[in-house]
Amino acid sequence: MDVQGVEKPKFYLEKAHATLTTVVDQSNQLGKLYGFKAVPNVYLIGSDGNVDFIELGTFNIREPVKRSLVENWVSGKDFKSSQPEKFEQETHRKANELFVSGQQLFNSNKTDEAIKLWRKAIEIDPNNYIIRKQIWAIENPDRFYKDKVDYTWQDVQLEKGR
Amino acid sequence: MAEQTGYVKVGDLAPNFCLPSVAGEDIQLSDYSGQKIALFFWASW
Repeated sequence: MDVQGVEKPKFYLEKAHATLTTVVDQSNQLGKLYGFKAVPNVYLIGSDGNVDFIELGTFNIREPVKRSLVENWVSGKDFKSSQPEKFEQETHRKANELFVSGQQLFNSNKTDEAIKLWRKAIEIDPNNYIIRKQIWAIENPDRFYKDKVDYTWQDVQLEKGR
Repeated sequence: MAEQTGYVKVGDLAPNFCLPSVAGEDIQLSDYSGQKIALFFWASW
């Protein structure tokens, strides 16, 4: 979910020696298609193509509980499906339109104008962390790409309402 | 159904998509049809 393109996620994939297939969604196509506005998320899809499990905004495979949930799902035993609550669709749609317009500006190197549109999007849809964090990452690259993501800094930004 | 609302729920058919991979090739969800797929969404921020 990186507007800034393939190099940003690649940095972390290489750092983790990750081998999973990774696609890059610069225009938040998937947030719109699947209906989420924060990450990290997981969707577990059965061999019939239907969704067995969804967790939005909090998924961390390093948590033992989450790890065993995925392992049980893979092996086909002891699996409980779970449904997250729905997001309000209209605000999400409007915010996403602004996000996509901003992304086009960003791609033509009009970063300031892009950020203006994204800030507008957050006004409409304050819980949209895909957009909020994208602004942070562009304005404060040192907090994201020096070595690791500075989550303490992010908490401070949220407390200040940024 | 999921395609219409844009909001995927448990039990829905996972909507297909096509996006470029970090290795530069186009990947579709349907490339993996018939297999279990764990789809993780994350970002560098």
